[in-house]
Amino acid sequence: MFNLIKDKNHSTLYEKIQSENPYYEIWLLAKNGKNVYFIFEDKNDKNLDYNTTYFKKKKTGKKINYYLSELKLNIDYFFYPKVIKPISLRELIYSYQNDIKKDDIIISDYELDEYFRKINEPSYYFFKKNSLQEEYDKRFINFYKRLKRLLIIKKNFIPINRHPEKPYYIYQLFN
Amino acid sequence: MFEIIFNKENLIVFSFVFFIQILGLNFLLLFFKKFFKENNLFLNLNYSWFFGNVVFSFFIFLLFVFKKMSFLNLKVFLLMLFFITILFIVSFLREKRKIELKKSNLIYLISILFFFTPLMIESLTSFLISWDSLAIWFLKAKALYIDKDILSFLKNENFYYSSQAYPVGILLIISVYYRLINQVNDQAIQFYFVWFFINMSFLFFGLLIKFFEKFFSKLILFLLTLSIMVNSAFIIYSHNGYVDLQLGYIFLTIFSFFYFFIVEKENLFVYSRLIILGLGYSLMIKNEALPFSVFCIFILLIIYLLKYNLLIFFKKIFFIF
Repeated sequence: MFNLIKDKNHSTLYEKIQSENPYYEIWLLAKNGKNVYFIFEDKNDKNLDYNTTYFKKKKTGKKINYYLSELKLNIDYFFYPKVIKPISLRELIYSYQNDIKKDDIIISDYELDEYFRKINEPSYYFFKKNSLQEEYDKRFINFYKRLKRLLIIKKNFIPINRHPEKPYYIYQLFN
Repeated sequence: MFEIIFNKENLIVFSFVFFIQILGLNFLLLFFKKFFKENNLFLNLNYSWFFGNVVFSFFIFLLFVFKKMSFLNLKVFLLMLFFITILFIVSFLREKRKIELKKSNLIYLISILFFFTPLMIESLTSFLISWDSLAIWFLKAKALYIDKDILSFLKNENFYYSSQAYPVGILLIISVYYRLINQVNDQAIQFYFVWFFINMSFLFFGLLIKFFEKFFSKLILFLLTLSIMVNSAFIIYSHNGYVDLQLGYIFLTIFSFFYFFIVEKENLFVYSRLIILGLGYSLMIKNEALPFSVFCIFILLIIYLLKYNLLIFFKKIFFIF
């Protein structure tokens, strides 16, 4: 690690070291105070991923699901005291679309480009869809056209004895 | 290299660690003189780190409870460091003749520090990545430093995953360091964590010297210590933000007191007091220390019941220090 950072050209030693962090870009966004939305793959009670969901039982006995992943941990940690709640892409498209402004940032734990490619494939055209799905896809396309994907720099530091982190994606609204 | 290692924030963390070590040395020299004189250099270094943490953690905990954490800043810390160093020099000079400092031990001390220098550099130049550090210890320490309190953080449902019932010992120490440098630096403070590992090596080497010096040369014991301590799990957990190694270190230190307590015929009350202080400290680190502490207290009570009676136990342990 020492060899990796000694020739780096950053303003502080902290940033030199941090630039090898797999979540460096998240740290930079938190440092620059950008307006950030964090989206995660749509989950409902039927297709819950138990690796990324935990429960909290309320006093009333009702169980509430909370989404948790390494990406969320890093977002929570770097952005503290600002809280960035994870929302689904559907929520973003339907409920937040009017709030999102130019230059806002979207951190996503899955690739939006992939979904865009999927719905533009000829096979998808023949796939039977209901009106809700069609509307969702339309909204998504409109939204996607406002996005530009930001580059995540490849890190040279390889931590020992640790699973490689899942990729994450950062988009910025250009209009 | 020089500017990477010896920048302002690292120098403060070095002084921070030095302060805790000196605090522990003073504590032993003032209250457990006989115990101090009987031990070799490595055991004394380890026990002074241990009791330095005990005393400092209790002190910080009191400040936290009475909402006086703002009292601590760099100037106050440097003043405390100055006085505590003077106190150490005076008490050491007073006891100098009775304390045996072997030259060979000093050489081995330098060798251990030299051997672990790359690990120390690594701790100072590592970013945080482990789950426990981001989800629990360093997140709470950051909250404590920024909010000046922990309650609002604990009530926030976004951080329910942050093991709210865990004690505040470690995060208080981290947040004190943040106060000293007046910002969050989760890289430099990892040196504090690695110092537990170094002291664990001191303890291990010190115990080997105590038990096997007559049978084996110190060089063999030294190599044995290093070969055990370079275990990859030890190295990774020495500073990655998990506190399990620190907890293991505390258990090991308390076990060593238990050994002395059971085997030695003299100083029984000294060891039992040290054990109880250590158990109190362990409860400030992690909930997992609770069964261990209950078990240790149970064993202490049994031994006292067999040797003396409970009245003497409570009198000696709690009232006459």
